[in-house]
Amino acid sequence: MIYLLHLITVIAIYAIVAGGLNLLVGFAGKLSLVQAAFYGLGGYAAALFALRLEWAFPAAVGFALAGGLAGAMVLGRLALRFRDEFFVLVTLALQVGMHAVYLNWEGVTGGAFGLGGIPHPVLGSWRADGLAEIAALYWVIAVLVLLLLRLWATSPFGLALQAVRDDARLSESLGKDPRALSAAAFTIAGGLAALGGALLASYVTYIDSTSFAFPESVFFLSIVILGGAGAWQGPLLGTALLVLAPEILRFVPLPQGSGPNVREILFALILLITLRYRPQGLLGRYALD
Amino acid sequence: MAQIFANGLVTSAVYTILALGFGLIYFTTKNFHLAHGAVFASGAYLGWWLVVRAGLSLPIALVVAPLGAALVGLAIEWSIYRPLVNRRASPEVILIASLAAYIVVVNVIAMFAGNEVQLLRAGASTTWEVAGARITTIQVLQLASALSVSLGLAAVLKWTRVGHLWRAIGDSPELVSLTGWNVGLHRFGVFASGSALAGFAGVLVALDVGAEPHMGFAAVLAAVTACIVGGLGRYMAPILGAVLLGIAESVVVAVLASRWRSAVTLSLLILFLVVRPLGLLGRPLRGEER
Repeated sequence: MIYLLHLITVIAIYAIVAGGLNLLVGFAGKLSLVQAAFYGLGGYAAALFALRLEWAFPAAVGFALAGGLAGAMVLGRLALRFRDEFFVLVTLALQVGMHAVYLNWEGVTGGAFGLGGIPHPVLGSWRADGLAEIAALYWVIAVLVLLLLRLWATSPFGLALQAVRDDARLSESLGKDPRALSAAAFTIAGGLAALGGALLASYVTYIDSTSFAFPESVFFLSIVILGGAGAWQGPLLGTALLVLAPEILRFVPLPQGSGPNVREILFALILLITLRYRPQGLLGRYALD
Repeated sequence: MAQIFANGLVTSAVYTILALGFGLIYFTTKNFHLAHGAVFASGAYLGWWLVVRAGLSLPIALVVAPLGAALVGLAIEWSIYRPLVNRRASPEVILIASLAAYIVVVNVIAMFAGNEVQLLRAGASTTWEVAGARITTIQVLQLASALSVSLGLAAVLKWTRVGHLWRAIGDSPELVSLTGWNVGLHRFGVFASGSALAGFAGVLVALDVGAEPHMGFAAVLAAVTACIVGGLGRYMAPILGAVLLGIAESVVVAVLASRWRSAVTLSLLILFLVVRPLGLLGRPLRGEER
C-alpha cells in the first residue's frame, strides 16, 4: 500500500513535468531534451529556499517555479534560434552543461553527496507528513496544472501554437509570431518542470544530481511521445504507463544488480517502438514526423 | 607548456578518429548518430574482452574490435534508422531514436561487463621525452593512428569510386538513386566504416585509460563539437575541430580542473552554433544546394 501511494505520488509529479513538456512537443512541435535540468533547477531551488532561508513550502515551491520560468525564458531565447536537429542538440548541450553545474558546484548543490533533510510540505498549520497526505496534495496540484493545460490547449494561445507547428510561415503571415509563441511554450514547459522538481524535493527530502541527468530528459520525452503529443490527456496516460511498466520486471528473474540497466533498456525500447510504429503516440493528435 | 600542448594533441587524436567517423555518417546520411558514442564504447569493451578475457594479443584486438563495432553500427542502422528514414521521419525524431539506441547499447554493455572501469592492460607504459613533453607509447600509437586514419579516409573520399558515391549521397541521395546506385547498400557501407573507426578509437582509449560503459557520451559530444567547429559538410574539417578542441580542453584542465572538461566542449559547441554555424572551414551553400 505504501509502495502504491509512492507510485501515485510519483505519477502526479511526472504528469506535471510531462504536461508542460507536451505544450512544447505536442503543440509547438519542438523536441526538448533540457527538461531534466529545469526539473533539477526547481528541485535545488526549493531545497535551498527551505534549508538555507527556511522558507515555508508554498514560498519555496512558488519561487522554484518562478526560477524555472525565468531560467527557461533565458535559455529558450538561445535554444529557439535553432531548428530541427540543432534545436535538440542545443537543448541536449544545455542539459549536460546544467547537470555538470549541479554535480560540480559543491558549495551550493552538495555535489555528488546531494542535499538532505529537505522538509515535507507544510501549508499553514497543516503538515503533510504522511505519504497519503503528500499524495493527495500533489494530486490536487497536478489536477490544477492539467486543467490549466487543458484550457490552454483550446485557447487562442494553444491554437496559435498548433498553427505555428503545422506551418510556421503561413501562421506568421496571419500575424502570429512563431518565435514568441515557441518561447512562451518553452518558458511554461521549463517552469512546470521546475515545479515538478520542487515537489519531488519536498517529497523525497533528499536530492542529488543523478535524478536530473540526461536519461531523465529522455524519459520525460518518452512519456509525452508514448502518451500522445498534442493531446492534453496524453502525458497523464504516458506517465502512468511508464511509471508502472518497470513493475512488470518484478516477475522476470534478473541477474543481481542489473535492475536499473534493464529499466533503462525497457524505457528506451518503448520509445523506439513508439517512434517506429505509432509516432502519434497512444492518444496522439500529432505524429512526430 | 609543451606538456599541455602534447596532452591536447593526444586528446585530439582520439577525437579526430571519432569525429571523422561521426562526420562520415552524418554528412553522408544526414542521420545525427549520437549512438556513435555507444558504438565507441562497444569497441572499447570488445577490445577489453578479446585481450583480457579471451587472452588474444593486442594487434588482433585492434583489428577484430572495430569489426565488431561495425556490426553494432550496422545493427543500429538496419533496425532503427532505416525504417524511420523510409518513413521520412524528421531529423529530430532520428536524433531522439539515436539517443534511445545509445541508452540500449550502453546498458547492455553495463549488464554484461559491470559499471566499473575495466582496464585493458596492467602497469605503466613506457614514456618518451619529445621536445620537453613526456608521452607514453600508447599515446604515440594514438597519434600515429589518427594520422593514418585521416590520410586513409581522405584518400578513399578523394580517389575511390565508393568515396565519390558517398559524397554524392551526402549531396543528394535521390539523384544518386536515380542514376541506378543502391543508396541503401552504400548507407550500410558508410555506417560500417564510420562505426569501425569509432570501435578503433574505443580500443585506443581502453588501452590508455580503460573502458567504462558511459565513456561514449562525452566522447560523442566532443566528436559533434569537432564536426561543428570544423565545418558541417566538410568531411576532413573535423580534424581541425578536434585539434582545437583537444588543445582547449587540455589548457582548461591544466588551469582549472578536469571536471570542467565537458564544459569546454559544450561552450565551444554552443559558441560556434551561435556565432559561426558554418564552422571554420564551412562554406555557405547556394540556395539550390540546400
